[in-house]
Amino acid sequence: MDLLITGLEVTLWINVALILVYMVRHVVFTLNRLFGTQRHPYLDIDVAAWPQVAVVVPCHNEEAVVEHVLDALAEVDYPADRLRVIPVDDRSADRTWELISRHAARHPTLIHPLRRVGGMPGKAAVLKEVTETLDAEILIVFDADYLPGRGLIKQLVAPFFDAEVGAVMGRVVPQNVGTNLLTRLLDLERAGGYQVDQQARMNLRLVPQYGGSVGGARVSAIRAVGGWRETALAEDTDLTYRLLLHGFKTVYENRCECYEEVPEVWQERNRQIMRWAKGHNQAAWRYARAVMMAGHLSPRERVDGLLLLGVYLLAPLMVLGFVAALALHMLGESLVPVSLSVLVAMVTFSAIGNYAAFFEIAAAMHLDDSRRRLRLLPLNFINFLSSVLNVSRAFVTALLFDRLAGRTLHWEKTSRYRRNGNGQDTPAA
Amino acid sequence: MIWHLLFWTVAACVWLAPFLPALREWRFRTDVGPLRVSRAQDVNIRHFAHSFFDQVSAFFDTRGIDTRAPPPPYNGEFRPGEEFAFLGAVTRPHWPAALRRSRRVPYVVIATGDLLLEGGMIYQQEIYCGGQLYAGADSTFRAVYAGTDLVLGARCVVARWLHSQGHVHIGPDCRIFGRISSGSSITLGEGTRFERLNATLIRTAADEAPAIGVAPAPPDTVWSPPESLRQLDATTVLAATSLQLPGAHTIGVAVVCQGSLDIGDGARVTRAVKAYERLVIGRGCSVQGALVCAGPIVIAAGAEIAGPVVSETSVDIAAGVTIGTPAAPTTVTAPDIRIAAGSQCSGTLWARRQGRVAVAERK
Repeated sequence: MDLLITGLEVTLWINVALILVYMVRHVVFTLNRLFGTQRHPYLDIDVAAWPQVAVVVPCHNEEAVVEHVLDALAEVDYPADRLRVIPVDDRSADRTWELISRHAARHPTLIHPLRRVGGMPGKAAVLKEVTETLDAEILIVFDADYLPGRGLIKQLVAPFFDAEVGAVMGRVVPQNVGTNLLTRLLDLERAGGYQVDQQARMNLRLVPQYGGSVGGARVSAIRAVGGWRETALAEDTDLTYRLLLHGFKTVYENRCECYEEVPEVWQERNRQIMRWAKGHNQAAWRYARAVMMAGHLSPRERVDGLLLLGVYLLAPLMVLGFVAALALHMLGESLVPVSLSVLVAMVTFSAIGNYAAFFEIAAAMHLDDSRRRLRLLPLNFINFLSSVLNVSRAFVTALLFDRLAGRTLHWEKTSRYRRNGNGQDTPAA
Repeated sequence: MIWHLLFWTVAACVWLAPFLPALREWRFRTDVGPLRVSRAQDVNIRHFAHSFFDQVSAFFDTRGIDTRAPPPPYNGEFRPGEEFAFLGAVTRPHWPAALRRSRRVPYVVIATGDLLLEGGMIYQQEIYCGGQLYAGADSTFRAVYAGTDLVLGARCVVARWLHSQGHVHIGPDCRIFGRISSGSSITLGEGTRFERLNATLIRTAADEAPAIGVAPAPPDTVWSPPESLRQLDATTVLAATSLQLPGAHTIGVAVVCQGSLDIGDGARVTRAVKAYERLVIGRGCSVQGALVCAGPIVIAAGAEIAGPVVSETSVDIAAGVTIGTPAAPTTVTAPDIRIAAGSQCSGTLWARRQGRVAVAERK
């Protein structure tokens, strides 16, 4: 019994220590965004000899949105002779290919469509296949639901004049914010994650993350690290870490904003975050040790690289901590009433937060001058609890069913919700 | 018991209080639009000038003003609360005595022809000039649009922006806050301070051409990166410490240096270079790629740079330096930029904090 109690206490204290580390990390990031020096070194490059760029749009059953992204890309301000748009239809069963072909006929020099009918499905496989034969210097990736503004390609390409930059990530801004409470909460979450978390990592020369869309990579850098890993569930995180370990940097450009659709139903959101968690944890298993041992990285890059890899491990750890605290209480070891512990925990998470959490979101709303939507912040508690449970569930299923039972992890597509119009009724358009 | 109850009541109130505005916002949806992300005014240096031009054009149309007709009687409100003075084709405006005494012109000034403005006046609103505009010394402007050339005398101040479809000549010791753009070229006088410039050609005035005296690199002396450097990709190497690259050599790889990087005189660099601490480009060097540095960048006399120049600290451009060409313009950006007389850039010169044209030493 003593051994069990000791084990539970150790678990609890490790848990508390880790949560404290992440809490400090978030507080430092937030204070940096509010009061620190902001780094946007490439933002002012507006005139240059722009390199050859390929914009890849992976599509799988995207008939609701694909025309909008192609229309937007046809309007971008980038030298026409140096830009090629490659929408890739990955075995769609709807009208996606027909719509892509129609746009390609309308813009034959700009749009060069590809259609996949075989091979491994999924975004990583699409990117791998396209990159292998690409003659452009820079590869920019947009998901089909994204709506890039006119100047976005130049802004995303500008950092690549820096020879050390391997990948660039822009800011994702939800377009369907007003649909329901979920979309409004996801809008808060995205704001905290990009406006504060990613930009602070850029400011502090840590490890900004390439997020797979509204971003891109240098083709020679992708090839130097061995190309896209088509078995990776989070090909973006996977690439971020391989570039980092090879010596390239990933740059976050907070002013490169692009609209996206966020899930409008909780089931879809749960699937999305479980997929992210599995992919991210897959990268964590793969690269944590290498990041720890990488002598060419600065100490701060190593620490942040590890903490970034661990963000989706925190939820199961937290659940474990709650279980340990409860068990200790049942065994008569708890020093405070469990109800009070729960209340304190709730208040703590509400006030200070976890993940790209409450404090960061509040700062992001302040920086975005979105004061009124900040009032919704307490309701983000629902999103927080849902994320904790689903990320923990993803951890358990990945461990028990995927890893131990050898089940293959597979790629899933996020549903689209755009109904009418062409997505151009947004403030940026 | 009562204390317990009180404690839990207070705790519940504290916990629930933030939910009241949250529930209200959820119910009444006062802020549900997507975040505005338009950056037109940031990205396009001519945004304000073009907007003003559009306003003036609309003004002519809506007022039915015949731009060829003699002035006055045209005056009134240009925008709510802002009066205009329409000068037509009058070249030398004669302001009322009260304005001349106060040295302040509170109107949006609109002239369809050339304009010759006496010095020492403060123009509190925008000036639109359909032709050439000459402004005397010590004038202060809010913003100026000129249809053709624009010449500012010494020690003038521009608060917001200045645009000319033709050539812009800024006299010595002027202070230009905001943006200067030109359809052809900009010439900056000595001691002038600036923020953001854009033109096919941006020159700093010099009495005489600077002597450089460095021969270009012979084609057969190619620098080979030492094996200790990390190979990032086929054309990029990474040095973990400071590095000196030899002068009069061709450097055919992109070099990233985690310390300071010093490129010797007359070197020819065919790709980009980057340093973390300090980047020095020697006399007469040519760099076909970009220069990037977290610390200061120093470009010595006679160097030719084709790619963008980006520093997070400062850029110091010596005499005789050429950055970009009219056919291939580029960007120079840093918080502080110091540019010596006798240099030229093509494209954008953007000093986030302050740009300054150095004063040449007199013999």
